[in-house]
Amino acid sequence: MAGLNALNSFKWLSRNSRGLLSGAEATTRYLSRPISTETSATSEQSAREALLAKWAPKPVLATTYSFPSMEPVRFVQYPENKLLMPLRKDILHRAVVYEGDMTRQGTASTKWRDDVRGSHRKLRAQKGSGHARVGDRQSPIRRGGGVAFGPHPRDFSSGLPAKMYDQAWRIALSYRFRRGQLIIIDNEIDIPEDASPYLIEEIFKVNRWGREYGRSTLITTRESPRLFDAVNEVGKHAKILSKDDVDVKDLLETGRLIMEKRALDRLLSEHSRDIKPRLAKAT
Amino acid sequence: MRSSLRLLNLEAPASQRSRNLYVCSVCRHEARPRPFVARQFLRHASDSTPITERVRRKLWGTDNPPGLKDPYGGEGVFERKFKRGQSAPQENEPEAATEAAEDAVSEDSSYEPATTWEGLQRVGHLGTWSDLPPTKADAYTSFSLNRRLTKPVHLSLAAHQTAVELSLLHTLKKPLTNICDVIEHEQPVFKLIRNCKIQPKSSGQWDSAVVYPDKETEEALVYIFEQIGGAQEAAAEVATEVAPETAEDAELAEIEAAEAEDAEFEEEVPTTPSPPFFGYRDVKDKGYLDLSLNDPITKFAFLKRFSQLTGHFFPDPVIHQISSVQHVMKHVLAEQNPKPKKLADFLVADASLQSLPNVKIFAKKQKPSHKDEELGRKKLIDAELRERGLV
Repeated sequence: MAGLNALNSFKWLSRNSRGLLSGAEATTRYLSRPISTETSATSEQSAREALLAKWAPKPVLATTYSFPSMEPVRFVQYPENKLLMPLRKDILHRAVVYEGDMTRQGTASTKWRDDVRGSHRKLRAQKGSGHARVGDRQSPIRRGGGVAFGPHPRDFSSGLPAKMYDQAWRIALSYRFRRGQLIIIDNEIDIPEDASPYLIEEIFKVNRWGREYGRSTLITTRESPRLFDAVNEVGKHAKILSKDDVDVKDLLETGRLIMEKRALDRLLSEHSRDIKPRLAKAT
Repeated sequence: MRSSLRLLNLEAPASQRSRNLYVCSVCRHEARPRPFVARQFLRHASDSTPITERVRRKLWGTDNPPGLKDPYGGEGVFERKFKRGQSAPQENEPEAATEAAEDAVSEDSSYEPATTWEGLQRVGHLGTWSDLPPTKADAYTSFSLNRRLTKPVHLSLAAHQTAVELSLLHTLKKPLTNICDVIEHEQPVFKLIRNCKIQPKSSGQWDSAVVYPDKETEEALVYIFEQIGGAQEAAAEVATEVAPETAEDAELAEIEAAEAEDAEFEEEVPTTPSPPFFGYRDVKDKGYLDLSLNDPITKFAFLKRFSQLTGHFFPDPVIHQISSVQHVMKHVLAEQNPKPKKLADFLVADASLQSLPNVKIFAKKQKPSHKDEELGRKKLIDAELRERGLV
């Protein structure tokens, strides 16, 4: 009985293992292959990982300062695809043109002869007066008549792929950063309640941000009327914008950008559609 | 021609200006108030006998005709005002009150009548911020020095001081940026720091890189730096007790005197009572240059402290490139001598570039006429132009 049981179990093994007991060569092949490939694969993989780690883009280190003393507070890290994008003047140009087109009012308007008020009576008889023939007074060749081919309200805005526009934002910020013209403020940009524009002038003078050094743009998260009024009084040295009013053109305009960190983070996260893959939604 | 018909005399009258000084015609023109509009309203051609008077005399046939002297109601308002303005300084019988006032003025020998508005007290304004002086709230205290130190000696002193401070804090295992709470050390403490040397053990390590001149200094500095972030006053007191009195003090006085003479900063600030670093003008060793700044925390602390002491700003890309104290010094010194922006300045600065075969430097901008001159055709062109009457 016991011998029969052992035979049955052997049969079962031979049927199911498929090659485990099908021959000596097969067994050795099966056993030897995984051992050798495993060792070589692990070494290759580790080398590859080491290389990748070596080549991996390192995050950018940026200093944050406290306003207005400009005391360095800490180093912060940003991914290189946000603050170290290579300069692409063509993309920047397209973005600036796109913004310019977007901001065109396009409200110029004239009246064509149909729109001009008045009677469409024939001014004089067709024949017999000795004068040239005329139609009505709305004719574009008459004074007070309609304007031929005049401007009419229209939309000048042009298109730009959103991902390209987002890139332009990050390229502009990266360009500033790479030139050392991006100053990140850790706290909020603000001045004391009873301070006057003299304070802004003094801050700009001591830190060399003024007109002699190419003016500076302050970018804040919150629009504080007191600060904005004070800065606008010394407009020859400074320009101030809240983060919602900033355009790519503003980022490129003055000598340097002095931004709150919160505003910078917000701008970067809002303009990362090309690097943030959107997950497909189940419908 | 009668005097009143002459061109308007735009020069200031002699009475209005100082007699001691010669004033040129241009200045006299500027000093004079604008000619009065009333000039145009003058009815009479001359001061002697107006035409109306002469007509009246002729009509009546006498030199003293009856009736009003001027049948047109006398001088107009502007005329009267203008006349008064003209004749006031020459009048011999002004009112007693004005005379007294004038006397008071003339008594003051230093008084000089102003000829322009410049320097006069401003009276009245529209209340805009620029009309009012800055208030207390407008005072700005910067983290770093308001002036940038530019002398290499000062920069090396600052770097050495920072290196000693940070390596001490490294050794004591204290937060490195705490040192920025001490804006300026007391002089004895600074002297102790300056006497220390930096000898990094291996590959620019900061730990125990400081070499103290003696045991006393070590104890004092360790004690002081233990206190940093806590009671600094106590530390300063101790330092004054411990500080060794050496012959350096006499030398220091000389240095300070010399320093006061040639204190040079990029931006001169009137409120600079003491020279930077108490007038010391040399660094004892160069070991601090080898210290490494690869560790971000150390780098941050070093640059923060260094910029606090020297007023220099380090932009992020520069910070990224810096990997040792040597790099910091190189960057700061290069800032003093920026690369010339104009090509001409660049070429003038370098003699080897001037000798290149394709480089020529002219004092003036070269125009086509210069080329004509060089090629010898300028004379021909000139002659031809003259012949045709074009020159």
